[in-house]
Amino acid sequence: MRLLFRTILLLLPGCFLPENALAFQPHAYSGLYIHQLAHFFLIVSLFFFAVKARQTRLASLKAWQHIIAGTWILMLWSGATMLGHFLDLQIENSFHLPPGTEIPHLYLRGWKETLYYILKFDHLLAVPAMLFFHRGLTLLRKGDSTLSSPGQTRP
Amino acid sequence: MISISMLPVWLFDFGGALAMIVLSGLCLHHALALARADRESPLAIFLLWFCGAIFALALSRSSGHILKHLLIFSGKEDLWLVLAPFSGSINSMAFIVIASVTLFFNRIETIMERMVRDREKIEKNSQDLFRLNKDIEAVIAERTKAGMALRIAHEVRNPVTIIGGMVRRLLNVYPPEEEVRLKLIHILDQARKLENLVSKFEAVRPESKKIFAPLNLNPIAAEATESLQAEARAKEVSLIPALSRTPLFFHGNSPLIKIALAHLLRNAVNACATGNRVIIATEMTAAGCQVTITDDGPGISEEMLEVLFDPYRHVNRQSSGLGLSYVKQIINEHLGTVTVTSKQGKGTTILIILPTHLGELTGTYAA
Repeated sequence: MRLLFRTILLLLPGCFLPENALAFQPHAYSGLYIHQLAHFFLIVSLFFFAVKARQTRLASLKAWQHIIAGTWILMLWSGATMLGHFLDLQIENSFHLPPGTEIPHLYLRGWKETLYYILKFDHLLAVPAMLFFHRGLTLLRKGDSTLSSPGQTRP
Repeated sequence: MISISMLPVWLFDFGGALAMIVLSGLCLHHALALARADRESPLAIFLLWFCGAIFALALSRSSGHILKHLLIFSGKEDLWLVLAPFSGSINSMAFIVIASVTLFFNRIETIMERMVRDREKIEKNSQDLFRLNKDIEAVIAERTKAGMALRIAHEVRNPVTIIGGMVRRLLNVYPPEEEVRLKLIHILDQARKLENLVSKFEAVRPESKKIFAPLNLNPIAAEATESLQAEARAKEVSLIPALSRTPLFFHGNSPLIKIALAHLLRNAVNACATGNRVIIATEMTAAGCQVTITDDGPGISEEMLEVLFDPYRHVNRQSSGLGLSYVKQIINEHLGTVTVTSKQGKGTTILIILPTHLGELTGTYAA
C-alpha cells in the first residue's frame, strides 16, 4: 500500500506536464524491423536446435536426421526471405507495367534485381524443408525410429 | 535493359503456398498422432508445438500470398494494401512462436536425458531388489531345509542309537549258532542304515550357503556408497568412501551385504545434519574383512545402543523397526559380527567383521 502511494506521488507531477510525458513514440518502418528481427530470431533458434539435436542421441535416428535436415533448410529459407525483404526496399523503382499487360515486370538493372528475382522463388527452400519434416514425422509414426518415452530411444 | 515478367514468380508462389499449407497440415496431423500415442513424451509434445507453430505460419503466410495474388488479379490491390500489415504481423508472431518453441528444445532434451537416467536407475534398483528377493528366499529355504533335516536327524538319532546299542548287547548274549542272532544282525544292519541316513541329514547344514560365493568386499561397499550419494547430497552430508586398495575377499552373498551396508549408511546419513560427514572404510584385519562406518552426527544414547539391533526398536515412525535387526541377521548369516559404539554429540562408529572363510573356500572350491 505504501509502495502504491509512493508511486502515485512520483507520477503525479507528470500529470501537470503532459507535453513532456512521451507516452507514445512514432515507429517508422517498425513493422518491417519487427518482421526482420523475427526472421533473425527464427534463424538463431533453429540454429541452436539443429546443433543441439545433432549432439544428442536423436541424431542417430533416421527420422530425426530428416527433421534436423528440414531445420537447416528452413533456416536457409528464413535467411533468404530476410534478404528478399531487405532488397524489396532497394528496388522499388525497378517495377513497371508494360502496356497491354496486367502483370508487372522487373527491370534487371543489376545484381540486386537479379538476386531479388531469384529469392522470390523462396518456396524452393520452404517446400523441401516441409517435405523433410513430413518424412521425419512419417518415419516416427511408422516406428522406424521410436519416438521418445525415456529409455525407449536410447540406442 | 532486360525486363522480366513477375508471372513465373506469382505462379510459383501460388503453387508453393498451397503446397506449404498441405505439407504443414500433414506434419501437424502426424505430430498430433504421435502426441496422442505417447501423451507423456516431452519430445512428442515439443513436436506438436513445433508443427502447430509451423502450420500457423504456413497458413497465415500462404493464405496471405494467395489472397494477394487473387486480389491483385481481380483489381482490388487497395484492399490488399489494407490487409498486408495484418498478414505480416501474424507471420512475425508465428516466427516468434516457432523460435520460442525451438529454443525450449534444449530444456526438453535435458529433461529427457534426466528421465532416461532415472529410468535406468529405477530399472537397475528393481533388478537388484528382485535378485535380493530371490536370494532371501533361497536363504530362508535353505535355513528351513537345514532346520528340518537337523530336527529329523535329532528325532531319529536317539531311538536308532538305542536300538543299535541294545541289538549289539543282545548279540553278545546269544551264542553264534542261535537262529535269533541272524535276525538280530538284520536288525543291526537296518539300524546302521538309519544311522547313515541321520548323518546324511546332518550333512545338510554344511552344504547350505549355495548362494554364497567368493567376493571382493570393496566393489560391494562402493556400490552401496554410490546408491546413497544422492540422499547424502540432498541432506548436504558428505558421504566419503575410504576403501582398501587391495581386494578383500570373503565368502558371502553380494546383494545381501550390499543391502546391509546401504541400510547402515542410510541410517547414518539420516541421523546426520547438514555439514556432517559419514565415512565408510574397508580393510583386512587378522579377524577378517573389516568395514567401518563412522559419522560425526549426534550419536546414539546408551539405552538405545543396548537394544539397537532388536526388532521393532525403530527411532522414526516411517521405519518398520526391522532394518537393523535384519542387518544383524545378514551379518550373522555370513558368520560375521557387527558392533556399534557411539558417544552422544560426537558420533557413531559401526564395525563389521566378515570372516574370510579361506578354509571353507579351499574345501569347497579346490575340488
